[in-house]
Amino acid sequence: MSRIFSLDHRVIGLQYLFTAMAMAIVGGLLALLIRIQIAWPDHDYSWIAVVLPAGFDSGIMKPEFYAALFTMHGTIMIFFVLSAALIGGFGNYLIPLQVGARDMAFPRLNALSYWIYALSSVVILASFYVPSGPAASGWTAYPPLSALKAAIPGSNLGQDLWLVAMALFIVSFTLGGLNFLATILAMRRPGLSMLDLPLFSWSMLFVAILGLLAFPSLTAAAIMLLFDRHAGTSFFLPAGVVLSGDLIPGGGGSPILWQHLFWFLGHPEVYILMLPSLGITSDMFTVFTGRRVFGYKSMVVAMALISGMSFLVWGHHMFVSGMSPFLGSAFAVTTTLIAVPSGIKVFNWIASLWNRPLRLTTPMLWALGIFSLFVTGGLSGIWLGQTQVDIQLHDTAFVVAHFHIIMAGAALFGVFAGVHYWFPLFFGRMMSERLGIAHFLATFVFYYATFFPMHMAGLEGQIRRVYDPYQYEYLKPLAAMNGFITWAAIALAVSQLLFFWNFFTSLRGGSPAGVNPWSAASLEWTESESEGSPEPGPLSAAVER
Amino acid sequence: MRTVALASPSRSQAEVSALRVAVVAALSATMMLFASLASALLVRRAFEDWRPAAAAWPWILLGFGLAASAGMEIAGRSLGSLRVAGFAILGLSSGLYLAGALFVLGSLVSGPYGLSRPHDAFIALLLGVHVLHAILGTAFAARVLRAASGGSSETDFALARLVTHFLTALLVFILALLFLPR
Repeated sequence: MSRIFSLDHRVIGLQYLFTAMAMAIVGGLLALLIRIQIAWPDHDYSWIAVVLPAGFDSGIMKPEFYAALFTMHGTIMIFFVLSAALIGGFGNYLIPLQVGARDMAFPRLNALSYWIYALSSVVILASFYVPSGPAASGWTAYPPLSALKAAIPGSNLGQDLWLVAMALFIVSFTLGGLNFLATILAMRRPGLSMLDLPLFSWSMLFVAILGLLAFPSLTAAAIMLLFDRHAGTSFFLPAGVVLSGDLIPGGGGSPILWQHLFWFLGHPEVYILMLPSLGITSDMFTVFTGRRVFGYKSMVVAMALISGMSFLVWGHHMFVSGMSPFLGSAFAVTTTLIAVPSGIKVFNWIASLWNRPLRLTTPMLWALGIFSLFVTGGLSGIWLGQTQVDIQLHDTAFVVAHFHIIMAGAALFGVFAGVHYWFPLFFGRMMSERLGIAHFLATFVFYYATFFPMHMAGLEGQIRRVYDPYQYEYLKPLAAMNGFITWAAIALAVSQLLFFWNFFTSLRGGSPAGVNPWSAASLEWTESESEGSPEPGPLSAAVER
Repeated sequence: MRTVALASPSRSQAEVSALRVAVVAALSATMMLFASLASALLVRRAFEDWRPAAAAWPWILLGFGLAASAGMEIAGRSLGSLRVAGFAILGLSSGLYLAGALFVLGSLVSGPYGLSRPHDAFIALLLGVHVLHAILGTAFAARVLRAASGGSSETDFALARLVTHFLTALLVFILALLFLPR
């Protein structure tokens, strides 16, 4: 029991990581169901209905169940998998080691943060088992769908559980963020300056600041939505809403207000997911090129600029909400300006790789994969940041492609890079390089095969969040492309078995790692080395600081 | 899993510094929460059905809030019996504020219109969230003051003062937002 309720930051970090892995399996299976439905909506899925009978009618998926699938997939993957693994997992384990502290500044608060996260995971999963089913208003929970309990089955108890789970998650994140800030700023070893820190620690600092300043906006919105649902207020409910022929009393509120509050968190959340991956990429380039990443200070400045500017761009998610075109133009400008610090990172990475001997280990391959996704997704982001283009592409598969590449993909690849890189530190053993490289190649190919064609589908007008696209005549020609995407997604899912096999067999059967197997120079490795391990790594002479 | 033994900076100094960072960060997050709620109010009160009602209770609650801050200052700036008096004022006015605010919230909820009127809804929202933070803030202040009484830590005292004054400033802000004419 003392192990389970440990205050040790390393145990808590691993607890986050394993919980996030379990949640990833759930979120990934939901994604597969979504893709299968889009590709072959008329098929009889009685074999799936055996497991999820409430979601099917005579083997055919119900539209409201499809809405629940994409809602829960988005929510689970964004908050409960990627945020939890990158920040809760790696952050907790590594920050004290990288800053030379014994533990987090507030170990009890740290443990509390994990257990609240675990509770929020249970609550969000429990919503699958309530009679009316889980929330179905999208991960964005737009009212009035989310505000009216009788709108669709998922708007009932499932939506309440969604709100409670999010509130718990925010409390957990806030406690973690306080701890990260206090540890990085106040608990550093004497003599260790901020500019000596790995860029991963810097990314955690910015992520903590972003979370502490952005999540309160969603907290406020969630409280107001709970009031609307249960206390008779109408913050978000407009007047004149008619549901099943009945006029909803009250009203007078603004559903657009929810969008503003939500996206004030929502866009910084994109960077909350991406910054750790960008930090990991930079650190991988340092270790596996044998030279500190090019432009270290400018990388820090770029992360600071990206973090600050992420608070100025939320309106680009709302170009079609009827906002003033002048305001839309302002948001288009701020959105485009984020390309500047992003470009700094990209060009610094190119300079870091240029004419250097690269050690193409598994973590390095994942880092290169992040680089690729960041550029690909960033370019489509510049398109979508322009009002003229976004109005055409809003809510199409193009947007799905964009954010799965830039946000989900870069963050997911960051998790894989981090797990492969720090596995020896976590468990004292190496993961198999052969399996790791095979996993990377399969994931890289099938990830692009899944999401790149969605750009084309979106340009052809395929709208998202529709359970049967082929009810529209003009989308019928896209059936073959959607079939291809779904097969690629299935292959992508199957590829992940390589990772799980590699991970769990390496826990016991991996070759002993030695102290510093990657010849890294950051404190989490070198402290172990200085303890006089029997197998000191060939550290650091090769790494120019 | 490896054990990494590390030499740390002076524990007490680092801890004090960490606590200060955490408190400032927590207050920043709280400020963002109220900024979000306030921005929602600013949007909502531009609508035609916004009908603010005058009342006396905001000034009474404000009085309790200001008295709590004054009590904190007296306790912080003096010693002996005056310090005890300061703590007594702080405790009494904090208790009266919480009781008064809860009474107002109960009256609104059980009133004839419930929370269906937008102005009442925002009163319940802002005051309710403030009460929640006041409870947490009071618990934090009590804890650090108890620690301070043993070791006489000026930093702990300063943090308790910061939290108390912050909560009072928030109360002034939300009452002004709700009741001062546009």
